Amino acid sequence: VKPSARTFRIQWDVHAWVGVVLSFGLFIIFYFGTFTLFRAELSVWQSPQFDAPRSACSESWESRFEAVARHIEFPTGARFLLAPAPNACRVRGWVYDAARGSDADVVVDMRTSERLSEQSRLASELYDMHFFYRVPHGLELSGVLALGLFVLLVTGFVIHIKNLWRQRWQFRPTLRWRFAASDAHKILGVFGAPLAITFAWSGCILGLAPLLIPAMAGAVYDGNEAKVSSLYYGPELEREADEPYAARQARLPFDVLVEKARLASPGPHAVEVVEGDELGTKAAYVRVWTRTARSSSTPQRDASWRPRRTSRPPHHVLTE
Amino acid sequence: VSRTRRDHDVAKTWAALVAAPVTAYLIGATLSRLLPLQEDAAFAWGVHVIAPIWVCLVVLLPLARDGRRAWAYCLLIALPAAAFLALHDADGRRPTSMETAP
Repeated sequence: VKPSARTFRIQWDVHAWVGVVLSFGLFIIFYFGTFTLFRAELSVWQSPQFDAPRSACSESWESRFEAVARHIEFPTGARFLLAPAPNACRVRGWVYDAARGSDADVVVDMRTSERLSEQSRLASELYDMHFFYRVPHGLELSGVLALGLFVLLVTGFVIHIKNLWRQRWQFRPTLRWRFAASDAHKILGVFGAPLAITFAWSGCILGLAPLLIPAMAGAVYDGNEAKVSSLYYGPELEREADEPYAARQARLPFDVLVEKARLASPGPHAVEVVEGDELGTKAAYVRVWTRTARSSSTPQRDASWRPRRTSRPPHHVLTE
Repeated sequence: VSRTRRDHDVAKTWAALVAAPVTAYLIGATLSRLLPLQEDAAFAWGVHVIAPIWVCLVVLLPLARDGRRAWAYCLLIALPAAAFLALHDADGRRPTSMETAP
């Protein structure tokens, strides 16, 4: 297969220009992606002063809630999160007051119920940079960059196809630097293509979601973004009608709620995070985030973890 | 106008940057409305074809003879899709596979 000279020239230009314009942003995503792979390990490493055997502290979710509530206020209707450290005797609490638009968080030592000093945010900041979370519309930007990577892969394939077999393993470091770099570019491009395609596809799906969901809702679903969001990410919580909530006067203890969630989702799941919303109202609920238990004791979540606007739990179970 | 000049027509670049995503989105939205599948499957097809079509258009539009043709190709696809979406409201939606599950 040999593209015409015109096709080759145009595709070469597209490949070069898209590469020049987007490569810096893509480099940032990939560079911080390598640190993101080790986020859990970094979160343990970054704050050694907080580490203590998890067995030394209470495993009660109600105790965790009470320990956090001693230090930060839980206003009515608040969204909140309880995240115990995977290998340390501490819990992180986070509260978001939608009415005021403000949030607060605290890390509490579960042995003494004392508030711990600020811990390093290295792991979460590196993770945030993986998709420009600190930049306005950074997630959308990373989606567009992922799409650009797709364009680079397709145009690179078209440019290279006529020499693909002949140059499949050609690396000539003894030639001038320019040719050696060109060889390396082609070899890495060809053999890295499966990974790059995966990165580009997953980046498009995750990064373009904030653009696609409202767009699809507007065009196809009468502006019902909640419905499109549930189609995109999976079905939302199957909430009961308001009536049973109104009849309930007091909330159940968190340990009971977590146990109900565990029973509703059988399997070797380790409960990692308890998230709740509409606290103290008739619509209150908690969402229990779990991860399938592994034979390794490697921690998979750090105490600074928090839900993101487009993220979804691996499993979620409704409890009232 | 020389062939090289036509090959680097600015209008083609704008077509690849602006018309391609809009066209891809309209195709995806139309598919998710039009496909004779259950709602969630139709949505999945519709939303997952957007990125590949977007990429294909970005790659193919620069190969058009000039910028005017590049825009025309996009309009040729986008206008019928937009008209279809405008004329067909969301009434009579098909149930999702979860809703029809026994």
